[in-house]
Amino acid sequence: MRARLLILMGMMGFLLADVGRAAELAVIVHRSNKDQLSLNDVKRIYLGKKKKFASVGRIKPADFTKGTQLRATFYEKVTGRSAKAVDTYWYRLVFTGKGVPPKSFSGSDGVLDYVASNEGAIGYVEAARVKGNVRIVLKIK
Amino acid sequence: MRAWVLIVLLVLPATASAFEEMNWQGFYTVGGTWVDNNFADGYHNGIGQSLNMAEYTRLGLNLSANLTDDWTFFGQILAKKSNDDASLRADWMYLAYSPSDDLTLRLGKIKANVWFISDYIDVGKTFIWAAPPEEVYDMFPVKSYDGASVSWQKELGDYTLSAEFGSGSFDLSGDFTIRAERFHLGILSFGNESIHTRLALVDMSIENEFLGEVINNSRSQIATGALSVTLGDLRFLGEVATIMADDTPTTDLAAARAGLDAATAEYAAAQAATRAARQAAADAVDDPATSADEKRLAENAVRSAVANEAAAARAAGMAAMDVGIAETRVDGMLTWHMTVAWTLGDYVPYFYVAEIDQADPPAFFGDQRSYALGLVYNINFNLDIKGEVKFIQVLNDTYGMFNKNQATTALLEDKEATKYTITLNAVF
Repeated sequence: MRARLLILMGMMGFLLADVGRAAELAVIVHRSNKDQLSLNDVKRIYLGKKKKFASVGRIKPADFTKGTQLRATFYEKVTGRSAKAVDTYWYRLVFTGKGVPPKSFSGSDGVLDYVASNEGAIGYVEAARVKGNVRIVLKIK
Repeated sequence: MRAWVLIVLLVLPATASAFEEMNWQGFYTVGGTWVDNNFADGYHNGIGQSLNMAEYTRLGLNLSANLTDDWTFFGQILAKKSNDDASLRADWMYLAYSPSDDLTLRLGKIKANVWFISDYIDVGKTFIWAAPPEEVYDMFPVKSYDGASVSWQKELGDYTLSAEFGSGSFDLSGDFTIRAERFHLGILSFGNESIHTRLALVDMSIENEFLGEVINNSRSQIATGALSVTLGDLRFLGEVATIMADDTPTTDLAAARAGLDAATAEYAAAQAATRAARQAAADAVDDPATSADEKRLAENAVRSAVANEAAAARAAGMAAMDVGIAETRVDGMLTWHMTVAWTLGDYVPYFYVAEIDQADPPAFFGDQRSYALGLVYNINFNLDIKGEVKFIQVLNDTYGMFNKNQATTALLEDKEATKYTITLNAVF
């Protein structure tokens, strides 16, 4: 009985740890980008308020297509707003000519490729999927 | 061709890489509206008792591209069906230069953000109303101007302070044309996600034209103030505006009144002539000595007199309109609305009260107050449907905004109407 309980607790611990790892997001930039970013900087970038990196100029944010769970999690954690509220916010900026929205990709590979090949690019993916010519600038749990 | 079009055409192709980063999005609204009362017969924007599908139906395409680190191109094309035909025009189109996050200079055809939602008023998905209150938003219908603007913003903790100043000209053509060679707009705003205040000031010299004829020139000032408060799922928005104008009618009032006196006298004379012709014709019929040719001549004289009387009546009507135009003043106009909305999941019920009130009626627009009850249903993140019922009361012995016979009929006996609006709004 005790052994079964230990096994069960161990499995639960493993599952919880896996959920934690899956939820961890990495904010990535191009290797040549020397800027240090805070959570607030990332928030300002994805709300179109911060437009330039000190080291590489114009910021080119990469995002996931609307409706994806990773995107919803990112905006909830970074901006404190739902993805729907952020969409409405961006509609207002775009349709008034006050901002160019982040470029959308359907998967992590697209985001990684875009960030790796554009000096001013910034993106976010699950931390476990980071690879290639990018630098992790911030981790979000 | 306007200068801003040339600038855009020259600069945009020079940066071919911009097209790789070009972003385009669009929006459309399909909507219908009608008013139930027979006094509201198509005067205001063609809205009357029959279903009007033109007023709120539109399609927009938005383009933006980062040209260099500092320069960005923005443009929006709007297709809209008017009551008579369809139009396709550049809603706005300009180049923006941002040397820093805080400062932006714009050059081209720029949005004139006089009201709280002026800048996205055509994008129905982005605001709660089925139709923004006419009492407020139609007082200054100009949406963009040709010129330059500079905007600055500063983040102060959670709050953002921003200021904008723009200068240029505009030409809003139609049956009633408003043209400004000199237009200045200043905007100051402060707030965060929960509370937002905004003040806008306009100073302009405008020329008003009706059916191709300049009817007056004026120096006008508009001041608008807005407060938006969000408390959880509850949102409040209040806006107030005052419009002042120093009108100089091109139609001289004394001459117009003299013209009306003369036209009225001619009309009275024509009426008398008709009566006399009819009497002569009747006498001719009664007199057995009158020949058939003489009777025919008498009948022709009656027809001629009736035609003259109708022409004199039209001339008197035009003369009365000239007097009305010469007497028109927009000074002292006050307009406001208060709106409350409550988000309940995908549903957003809302209520507003709106009013337009002029210091010295009768004037350019009739006075009215309205109460609107609406419901928004968010179908998904890019589609919603809105319905609104609006109760309208005409105020202060005027004719309201929906009566086509403002200048020529007696005061209304029935001073209430209900307006129904339903729209489907999408962004893509």
